[in-house]
Amino acid sequence: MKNMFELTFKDKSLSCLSGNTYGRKIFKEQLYDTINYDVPIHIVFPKYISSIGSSFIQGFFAELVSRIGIEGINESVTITTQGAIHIGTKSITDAQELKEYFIKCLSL
Amino acid sequence: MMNGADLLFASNANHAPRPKIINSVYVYTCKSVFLDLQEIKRIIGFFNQLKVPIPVTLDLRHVRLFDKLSYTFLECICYRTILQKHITIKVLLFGAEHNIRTVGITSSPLLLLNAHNIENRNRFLKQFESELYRNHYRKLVKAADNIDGDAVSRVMTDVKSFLGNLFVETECATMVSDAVAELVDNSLEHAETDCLVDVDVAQDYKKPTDPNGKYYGVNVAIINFSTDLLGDRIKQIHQRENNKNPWYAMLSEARKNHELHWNEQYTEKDFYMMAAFQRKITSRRPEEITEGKTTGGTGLTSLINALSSKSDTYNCYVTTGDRILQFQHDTLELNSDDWVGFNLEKDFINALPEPDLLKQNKLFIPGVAYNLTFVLKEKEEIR
Repeated sequence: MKNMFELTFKDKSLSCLSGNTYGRKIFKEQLYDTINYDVPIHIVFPKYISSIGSSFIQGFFAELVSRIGIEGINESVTITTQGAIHIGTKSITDAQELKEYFIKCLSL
Repeated sequence: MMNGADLLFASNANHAPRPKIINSVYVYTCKSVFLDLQEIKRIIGFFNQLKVPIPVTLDLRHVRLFDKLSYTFLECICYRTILQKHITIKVLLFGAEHNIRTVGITSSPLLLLNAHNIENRNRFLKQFESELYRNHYRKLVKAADNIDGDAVSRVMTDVKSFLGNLFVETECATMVSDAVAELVDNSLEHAETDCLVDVDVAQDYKKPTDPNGKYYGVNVAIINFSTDLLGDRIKQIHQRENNKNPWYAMLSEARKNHELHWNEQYTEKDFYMMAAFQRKITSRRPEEITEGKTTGGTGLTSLINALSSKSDTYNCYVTTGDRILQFQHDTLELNSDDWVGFNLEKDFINALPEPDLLKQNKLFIPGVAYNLTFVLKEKEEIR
């Protein structure tokens, strides 16, 4: 089974994601029931999302942190975007840079 | 209605002279130099004494606006009174002085209350709840409407796009919208109450210290009303969890050092208000705190980061209950644990906060309110 999750959001006009509880809700709705923690995981953010606040990241990954830890996320999770994510002055499209940002938010 | 707005009236009982009735209208004339939080308390005292449902005129023509939060509270007072008493309120503001921090008054819904007119009154109510026009963004985020859970993302999206359209550079727009979203999230999730967000952008200003540079100010007011004051839940969790979690063990160590110095100027409430800004000290999901696996508790840290790099140090504060905590650049640097000392030592555990950061607020705030100003130099290429 493909362990890849292309996230979708009901309101397509949202370009930013924020809120710990909202992050948890999206994980529960779109990953929780079908995710396999024993094989590589691929999470894809849609093109229209351009900013992701640390609170959303912390909420979304809370279950993953609890199951496989930040180290496990670093080893087996790939995060990509169909567009670009603004972080500071940079616009990130590269999966490795994106993961580094997510790991940094989770380590806060 | 804005959740909990009644608490503001109940918490600030009678502190004004008997209301005058002139030609069947209650008239309040502001005699203070500034429209500040103390004057807001007097105005609430005036409204608390009104007995009959007749129109009200507030004469504020000769007042100087102290800050954005003060006139935003005035908007809340008018909003709640109109909805509850179904009267008209006329606010005379012509002549009120403003500056880079208070220029948002020129787009305030209060300007609609320029006559005893039902149509304008209804427009005021609508504009109080939501507006996106020119340099002004306003949203009353209602906790009960957050059914899909994306209200905070909506605020972040709207504020970022609003600032971007006004040529605020992307880095700053992202940072401010993220900080605003975190504060709204705190209100909806932690205090479980509505949250009023107001952002305005003041363009083309100059600083006396840099007459050739062009500056703009991003002014932010955020208000929620609740019986929960900032730090209350942290105190409860701290008493229960004590040292089960390493971050709360650090808080215990700080408390041990600070409590010896608590007095009228620096209280236990101040300590827990400041504790709310420390990384991993959160009122969210206490069960995870106990297990030591919380991934949250960094929301207010992101505000501190934003403030320490871009804020106007003399105009940023949070107020809760009867206390004010001023955010001052040189006391906001985070240490290696991302804890903020609120002192020059950058050490919350062993050193006390700088004494002039903590003040008494004459207006009792049931809930939490922020007054923030980010002053940014314009880039040549954006104009």
